[in-house]
Amino acid sequence: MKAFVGARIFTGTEWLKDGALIIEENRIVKVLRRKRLPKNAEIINVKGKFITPGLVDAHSHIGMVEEGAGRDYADLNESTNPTTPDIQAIDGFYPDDPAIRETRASGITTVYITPGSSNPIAGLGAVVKLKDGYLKDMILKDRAGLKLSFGENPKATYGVNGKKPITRMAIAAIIREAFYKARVYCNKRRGKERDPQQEALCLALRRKIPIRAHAHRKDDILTALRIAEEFNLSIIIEHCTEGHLAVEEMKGYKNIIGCVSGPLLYFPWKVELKNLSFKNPAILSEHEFLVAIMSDHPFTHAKYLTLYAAMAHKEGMDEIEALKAITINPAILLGVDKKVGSLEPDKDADFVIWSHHPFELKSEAMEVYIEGKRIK
Amino acid sequence: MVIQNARILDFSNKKVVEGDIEITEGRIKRIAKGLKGNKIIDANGLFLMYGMIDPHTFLGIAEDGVGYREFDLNETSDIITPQMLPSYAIHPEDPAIKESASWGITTAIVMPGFSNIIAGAGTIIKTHGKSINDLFIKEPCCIKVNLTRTPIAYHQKDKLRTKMYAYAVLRKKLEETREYMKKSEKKRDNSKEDMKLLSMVLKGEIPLLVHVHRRDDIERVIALKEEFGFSLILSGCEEAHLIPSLLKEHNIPCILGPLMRADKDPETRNTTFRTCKVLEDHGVKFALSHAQSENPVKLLRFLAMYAHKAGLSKWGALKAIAQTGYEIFGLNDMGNIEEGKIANIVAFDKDPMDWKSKVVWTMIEGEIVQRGEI
Repeated sequence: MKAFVGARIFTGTEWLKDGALIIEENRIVKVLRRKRLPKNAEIINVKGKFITPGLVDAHSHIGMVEEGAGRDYADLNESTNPTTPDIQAIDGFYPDDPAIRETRASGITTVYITPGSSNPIAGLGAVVKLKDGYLKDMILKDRAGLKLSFGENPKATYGVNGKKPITRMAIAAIIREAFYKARVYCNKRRGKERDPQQEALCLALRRKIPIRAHAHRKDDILTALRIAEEFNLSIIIEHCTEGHLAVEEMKGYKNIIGCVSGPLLYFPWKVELKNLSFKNPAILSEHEFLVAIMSDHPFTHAKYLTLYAAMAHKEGMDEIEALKAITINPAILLGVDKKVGSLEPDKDADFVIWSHHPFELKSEAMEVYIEGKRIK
Repeated sequence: MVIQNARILDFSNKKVVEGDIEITEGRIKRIAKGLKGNKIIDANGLFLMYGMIDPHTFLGIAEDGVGYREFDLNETSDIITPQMLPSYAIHPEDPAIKESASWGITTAIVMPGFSNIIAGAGTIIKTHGKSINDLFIKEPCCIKVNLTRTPIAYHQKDKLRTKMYAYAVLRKKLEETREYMKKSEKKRDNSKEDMKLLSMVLKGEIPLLVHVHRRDDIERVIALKEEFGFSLILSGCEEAHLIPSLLKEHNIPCILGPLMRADKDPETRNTTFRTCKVLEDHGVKFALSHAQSENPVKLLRFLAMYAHKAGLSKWGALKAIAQTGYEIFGLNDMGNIEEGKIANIVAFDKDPMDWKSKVVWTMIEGEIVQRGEI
């Protein structure tokens, strides 16, 4: 049993000024307000430092676009078919991507990896721990979400070549048609041949997993929400770039679990990005949406996740809310909050010891632990 | 006009000075304490720094929010296009120009993109104005060359497969320019805009700005400079830290970056903020730029902060975003708050190297043009 004492500790909901984090092996025992330490604990003095849970990046392609290899080697977009519900990000994930080492050394310990946004029905994402070892041990949650893509990207992939979808109407049509068919398949019990594509859609229809709807523009967000309502799917809006302009309308849809905002520090090279604003997560959070902040690596680097949250804070997001947006909120959205995202009894001992407040630019992740094992 | 009660970041003396600034006809006339004038701006303790310069942008030619099909960035119809002049494409209403000004960037250099071996000319603009005439400072300020693998990626179908050919094409064009220059004025074909522009380079009137990533390319380009005798600025230059002594020996300035780059290819895999400290230690002159990659131009200040975090001195970091860029392009009346310089001044509520700092106002040529970060 180890007790880290003297640091300011962000538990996932609040800061404790002079707390103690107690871990045993790979688990958190508890976080104490005062130093009533267990007698058998090895005391580790981290006075003046800051401890947070290991950070969680709710939307990334890390490992799928190997750093330094070139785009020809990317496993990001299966842009051969607009409907690929059964492809899995984990099958394109390369654990030795150099970006992973840098990223976890910056305090990010859990990521959600997802196929890219070329296909209206893009495939399944997975939650991965950035720890050493076999791929199977890194997977925290397989088939954790079904990515759907709205707006420009599917149009730019297929439409420009004269293929369907050319318009937003066709994107919606493709998605609705697929769910209509899958609904029949899912309800049929006997004598059916297993179809992996239909099975993937069934996961969403049975609400085992949420749909992760890539949507920038306000109308795309609302399209995604309407479809989710029609098929009674639980939905998370990815990017949500114009979400801050549509809060009232978004509130009308009960199926929405939350929004994953970002990448915030991004050059708005597409039309649908023109209203990109650092204030987006602040406004969404003020309206009580559950907000996570993403890197969308490699579109902006995953290792700067604290900077993205810091910018959201600088532009008006409550400091605690901004911290939650890279810890407990993404853990909840990814359905892994029983294990990661906060420092609570029985959760995985994933935590970071920082030299300064993690939002300070000069702050260094001095020590990073995943399941009690120090990886930095 | 007098700005009173300012905390002035003086790059030359590397210190913060308390005082007042008198501005006449868009220039800094005097810096002293207790100055008076008929128009007063009370800075009330704000930190005043010289306006920043991003020396490698696509402002106005790769406009925010219009979509890449509207970009006037890469003239991919050919691999050699020195006659491309950004002033004919810069859209003054690109929101990024105004936003950059509001974040304290008062000057930018706009250049064509990365697709062509000779991409075109560089244009110096200020970040305030309704028309290109308002924005315009100088064109051409350089000719941009790309000796990365990006031109190959763009042209591999028909025009270019290897770097060997890229170098050969460039050399041939420079040889052609030499021949052109040998001809008497009467015999020269005056319609050849490309020859005229490249002559300016070979005569030493404007520098050749070469975008390279790898150290071997840096070496090859320096050899080319020796052979043809042009003045050279390197851009990109992500492996500069591997050969700092060579850069120092030949006195080559670098426009580093984008160092926050996420999407690293084989040529840029050694990108690191540590490069800045190595260059500082070796006395190599460098400026920082986002090269308008994944991050918007307005975030220039963050490059300085991360460079400082990776070991670059604080004043070295500030100079890299608000002084050296001017020096590299010979803009000698810009680059520090001191007497005689053009009054491009940014006021911050805190030390600009503090990530929480915000721009309160931006002054260009003695006029406050933006109030607060957009």
